[in-house]
Amino acid sequence: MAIQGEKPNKREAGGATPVNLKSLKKIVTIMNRAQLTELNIEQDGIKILLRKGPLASEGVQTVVNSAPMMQMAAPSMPVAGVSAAPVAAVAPAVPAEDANLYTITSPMVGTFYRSPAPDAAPYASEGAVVDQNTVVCIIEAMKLMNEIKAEVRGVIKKILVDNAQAVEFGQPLFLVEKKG
Amino acid sequence: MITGDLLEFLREQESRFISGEELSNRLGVSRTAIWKHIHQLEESGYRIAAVPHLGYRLLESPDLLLPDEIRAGLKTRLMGQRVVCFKETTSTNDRALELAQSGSPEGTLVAAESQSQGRGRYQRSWLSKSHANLLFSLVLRPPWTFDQIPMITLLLAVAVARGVHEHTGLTTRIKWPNDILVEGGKVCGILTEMRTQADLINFVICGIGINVNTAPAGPMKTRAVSLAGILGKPVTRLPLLQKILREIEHWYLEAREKGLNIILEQWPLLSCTPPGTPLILEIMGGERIEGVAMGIDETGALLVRLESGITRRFASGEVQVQV
Repeated sequence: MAIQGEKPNKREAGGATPVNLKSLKKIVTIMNRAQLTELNIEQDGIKILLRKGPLASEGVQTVVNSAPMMQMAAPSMPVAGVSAAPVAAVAPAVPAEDANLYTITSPMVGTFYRSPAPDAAPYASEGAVVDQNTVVCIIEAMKLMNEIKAEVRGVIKKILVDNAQAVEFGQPLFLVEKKG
Repeated sequence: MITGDLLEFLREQESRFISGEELSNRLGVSRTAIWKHIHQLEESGYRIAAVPHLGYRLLESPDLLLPDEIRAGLKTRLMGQRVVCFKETTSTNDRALELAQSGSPEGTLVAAESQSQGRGRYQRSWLSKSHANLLFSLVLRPPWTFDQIPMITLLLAVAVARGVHEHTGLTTRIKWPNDILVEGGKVCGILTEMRTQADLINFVICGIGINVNTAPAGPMKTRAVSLAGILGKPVTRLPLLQKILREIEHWYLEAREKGLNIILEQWPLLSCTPPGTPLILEIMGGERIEGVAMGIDETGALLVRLESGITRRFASGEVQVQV
């Protein structure tokens, strides 16, 4: 969420791990965009393998799967508007050990809309087939309307938030079962 | 673009006549062609004197949303440097989205005399009488992050509130996040749409509707008023639009250079709910939150102190000021 000093990825950064979460997220984004399934990085004696799906090579020190990592960024408080009270520590949300599941998260604090208008059909229902460019919902913050895309090809497995609910930065919105 | 050049030559002359022969030489077309273009200008609302042996002279320009009129004397670097105008379109945001997607530069302006599907937040319909008001959208490509970007709606509100005040002398106030009020009535609504790719912001479309000469009909939570209604006389739209474009450019470039904090400094001067004002916030889903305004936080979110004494921040919701 966008409160100063309370962003989950800021808290994670500079912790026990020598690699900060923000740069990892960037790398994951690049991987997704380039549709890579595996990426090896070696720098300053640290080796990192990022992979999606089954492991193709062996003999690396750290294995980070992109899906659970995005989960870590999810804050634990899906509260309307956000209270001034400090936010609890990052909690592992939503089960997604399944590497085939992709979680669409909210990029910002705001209100979640499933349809473009109150009487319109929802953008995406459970079971809907989506691809990278399918709009699945709108997040509105201060009258700024942000269309959220699926970012992956697959089927909407579960919608995790009710219409017109307040959502936080990084909050999981949809689970998508990835296909081809 | 002969008509545009012709208009420019006529403007240069100010109160002098320019002969058809000189115009035909300067534009490299026949005098018959000049006559045809003059006729076209008259059809779009320009008044042009045509006197034998003297030539042509521009008497009056129409207060119409035409690219040449908007650009004449605009003096901006970005905003309105490219202008696309429609007599009628579904909504200027729709056209601006298309233009932005096909690579239109930052500052591209789309204006319309009327919209068939004008809309507010959550596609609430927003109708406006043709040729009476200002309906326009701007394409922006801001460098800000997802955390920062919602503040752009406050930036636009500050710019419009100042532009309207400058043009009319009326006291303008902002109802969070971006409705402009004059004497307690709503004169302007702003709807901003964003398109992203992964964690990158591709562009932002800022749709602005101002009740210049008529207030739209229809059910509304806040009473709609027009600038002309309050002033008791018609208001010219072109100079108002130009002032607003200059204000938007000023605050946008300043915020890009110095940070969005400069908008936070403007907020207390313009907000209709200074700290201590009782208000009701209606959040989507119908919940009504009663409390006292406590200003905004560094992200632009509204701070409300509840009866329990706890202050909460809100990123969305509809403010109603208690009377």
